[in-house]
Amino acid sequence: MNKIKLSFLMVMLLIISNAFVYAQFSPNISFMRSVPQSFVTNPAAEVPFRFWIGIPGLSSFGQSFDNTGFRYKDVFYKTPDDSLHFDVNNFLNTLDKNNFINVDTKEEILGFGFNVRSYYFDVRFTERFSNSIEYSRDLMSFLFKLNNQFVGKTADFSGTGINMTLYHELSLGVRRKLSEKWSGGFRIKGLAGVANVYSRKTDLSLFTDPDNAYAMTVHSDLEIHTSIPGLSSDPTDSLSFVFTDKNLQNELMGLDNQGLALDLGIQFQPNNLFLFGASVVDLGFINWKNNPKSYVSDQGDHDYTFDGIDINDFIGNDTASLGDQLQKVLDSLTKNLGLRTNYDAYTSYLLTRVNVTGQFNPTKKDHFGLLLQTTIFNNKIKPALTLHYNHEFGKTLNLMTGYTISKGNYLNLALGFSLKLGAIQWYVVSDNAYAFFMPTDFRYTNIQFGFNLVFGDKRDFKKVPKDVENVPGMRTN
Amino acid sequence: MNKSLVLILLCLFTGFISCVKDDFSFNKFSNPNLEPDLAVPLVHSKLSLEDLLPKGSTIIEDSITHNLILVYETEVVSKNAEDYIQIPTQQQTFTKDNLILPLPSGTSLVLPFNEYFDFTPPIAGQRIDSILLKSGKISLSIVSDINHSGSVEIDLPFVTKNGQPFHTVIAHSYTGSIPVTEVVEIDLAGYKIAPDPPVNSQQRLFVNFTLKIEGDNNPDLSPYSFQLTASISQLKFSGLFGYFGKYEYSMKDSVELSVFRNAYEGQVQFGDLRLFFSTSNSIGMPMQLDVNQLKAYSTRNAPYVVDITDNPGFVNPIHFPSPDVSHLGQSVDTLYSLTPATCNLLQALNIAPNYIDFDVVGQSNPAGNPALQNFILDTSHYALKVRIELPFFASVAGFVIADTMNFNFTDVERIEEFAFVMTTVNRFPLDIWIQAYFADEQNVVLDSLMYSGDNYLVHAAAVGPAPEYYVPLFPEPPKYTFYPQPLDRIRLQRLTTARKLILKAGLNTYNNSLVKIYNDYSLDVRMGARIKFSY
Repeated sequence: MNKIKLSFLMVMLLIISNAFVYAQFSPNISFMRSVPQSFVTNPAAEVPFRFWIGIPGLSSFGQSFDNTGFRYKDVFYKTPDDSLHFDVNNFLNTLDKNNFINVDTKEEILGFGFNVRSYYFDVRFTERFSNSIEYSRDLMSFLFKLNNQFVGKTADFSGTGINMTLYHELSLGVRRKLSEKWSGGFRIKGLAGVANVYSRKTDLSLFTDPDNAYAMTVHSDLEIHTSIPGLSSDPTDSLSFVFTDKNLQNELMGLDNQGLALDLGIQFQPNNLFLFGASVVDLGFINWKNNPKSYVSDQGDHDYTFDGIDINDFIGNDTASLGDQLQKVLDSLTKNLGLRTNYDAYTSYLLTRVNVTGQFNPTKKDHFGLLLQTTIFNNKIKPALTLHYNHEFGKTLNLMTGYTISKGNYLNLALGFSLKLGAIQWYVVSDNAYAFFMPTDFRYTNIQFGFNLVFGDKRDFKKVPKDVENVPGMRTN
Repeated sequence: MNKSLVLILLCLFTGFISCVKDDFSFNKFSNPNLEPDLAVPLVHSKLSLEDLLPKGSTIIEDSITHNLILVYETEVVSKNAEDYIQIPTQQQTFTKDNLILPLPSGTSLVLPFNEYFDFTPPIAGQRIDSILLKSGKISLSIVSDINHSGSVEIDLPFVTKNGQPFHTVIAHSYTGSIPVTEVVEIDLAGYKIAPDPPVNSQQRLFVNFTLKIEGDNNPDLSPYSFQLTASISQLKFSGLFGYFGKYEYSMKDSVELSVFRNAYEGQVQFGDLRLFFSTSNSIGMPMQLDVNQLKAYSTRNAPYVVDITDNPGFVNPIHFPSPDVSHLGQSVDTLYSLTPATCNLLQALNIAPNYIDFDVVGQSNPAGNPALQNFILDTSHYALKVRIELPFFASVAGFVIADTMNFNFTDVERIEEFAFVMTTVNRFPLDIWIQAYFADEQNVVLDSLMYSGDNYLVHAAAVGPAPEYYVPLFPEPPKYTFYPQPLDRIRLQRLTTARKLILKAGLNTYNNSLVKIYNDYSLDVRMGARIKFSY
């Protein structure tokens, strides 16, 4: 494979690689009361076990991938000679003006919960990697086809941005029944950031002027923050990573980058047939103080036009070289883009999700659900709608299916189960199981699985228990 | 679940995995078939006349008419006078024999002598009235067989320093053996030497020396002999007065007219031309300039050589004044102007000369009058500046310049098409076309950048009425965009074998008529390129 092929594949795989980091926590799991982790989308949700504890390191692992733009099969195709090709035109045609790739990875190292009177407490320690990339069609088109296509037009790269965060999360959740019909809960989370790249503002465009020999005007208004372990923020240092055992340990602990987040939820059960809920999850921030480095447009909205090098610099100057001139152009570009580097601490915000749920329980074992989830990133919202059904085969087996619609993704068939053998519970849920069978034909999928030890199962499908009213979706007759 | 079902499911799963794996066979990835198309600005410059002219051109602005004038000049400076005139060493010996010196003990004897010291000028026929010395020495040595001690006093009344005559005493010390010898050297820096006027072409310096001998108990061995030798040497003057005769200062050089450096063909008709000889003379001698040669040379245009002096109006030699003694240390500057009426300057410019060669000799005291009073200082010199002024009031017709440079364009493997674009806003009243030829090592043209039918790249701005012929600021001259034929893959491949780039540019003035160029004219040039790649 020659260099060009290799370079090209590297770039593409960088993009696509996110596609194979499947799945975060599942929207559908919030309707599976048999799994303690169902409360993640709403801290007011009841857990039907008096005590549960996740098997350390295995209690919950979730990854999600969501791309509003292209599918693998939109990008690559095979020819009869069995070679693999990249279809750049189809790739670009599948893109909207602005596109997202969201990747979320979550590993619950430790988790447990228990019931005390009308309260339910849970404690969890989780590693989280959250990455949301927004890219414009014009940017991709520029990268693959360069700018001749934009001569006389503006290539709009605005909105292109990234919010990548790796952090530790320690949470304490409390759920309480407020009245016969209402219950509420919250979860407070202490956060310790490890690494972050955060583009708060990326207003960027390029105009190529056909009337002035392709003079290029760059419009920019940027604000990009980074905090990378080992990457010195000392202005006098060159770009280099410096690790010592001590500082690496501290930086990976993330104790310098502290943050706080809150989950809030409420549930309303007017009767045994219906259950409604609303929650806000991951409403929080991290204050980055370790190795902060930011690039900010110091003049706000700013235009810089490059219309070529000045040959006057070459006339009568035998020592002038093209390399010098190009360096001058680059220096001028950097200067005129007005990017100022600072080393001040900054604050990044989590990808906040707002959930509204409705549940219909026609029988004690059948549960229909509807979830409207909205993700907020860079002052933009991305909604998703999930329809859900699960059937509990007694306390042992619970099977579920669902259907999720998000922006640009309409074929997301969820499948999942939980299996309880004694106190050991195993669960697997994916919101787009189709992706596992047709890995070239999906934009969105996730998977979440884990093992718990559960005790004191309060579900009773044979007779109506005294506290049946506390079990959502259970009909009493 | 029976075994068959398990087997079928296993086969289906294996098949499925194989298919999926096949879809991700990146080792079978072929070139991505990308065709990026880059439109990039290359150059934007606002070129003044000075930017457009070859290096080595100087432009001045006429303060009255504001016309621009192209100036080429070169200056030749003579050596300083002290390098031309070296005063020779002057030496003379005075011998006194048969001296009878009866000297009883306790007595002394004084013997005075008056002599003349011959002074020889650097060149015969010169007259030295005085020399101001900045360095030099006098060496005085005595040799005698007098067996008594004493001294010798030496006076040079016309060798003075600050008005005081030269005076020195040399000891005559007898220590038991003869001959008695003594040598002294005295620095003459700051002294003035004023020899007597020439008598029979010989100049002299009066010398007075006195021998004083003390009596003692040594036996009288009369007759005695005494010898004084004086040597004045290593003389460097700060000033020299007298009559110095004829000296010649030869000056040869050339003036490159870089505006024609790359001239290929065509003519430039200048409305006005001037050639100047300007001198700066601080030598206190009348001077004349003999122009032995003043010729224009062209490597391309016949007759290739034009003798600028071959004109009845040309005056040769040219006399230049010199400073008189009241302007000691000052220069007298003079300017001698030649016009097309007094020399063949127009004929010379018609061949678009690469350079003008001159060979002149500056000669002092051309009249040979020895009664004249000359002077020179050690720093006196003579400078000649040859200056050619070409006012930008000219018409240009079919004037073509050409240049050849090395060319190497090999890395075109990924370039599918290369297309230039050029936009210009021209305030010069000049049409300009440009052609680039790509040639191999043997100068065989392989391709050209423009097609022969392409129009002018830059269109002349329209000029206003005489006598200013001014291109108005408003309305702004129109912008022209020029798209040469794109270089496709075949042509680009052809260029990979090219090793030379021959650039030609042609100029015509607006309607081929006389135009003037002003300082605020400019040519705004933008160049861009569209490069289509293939991967």
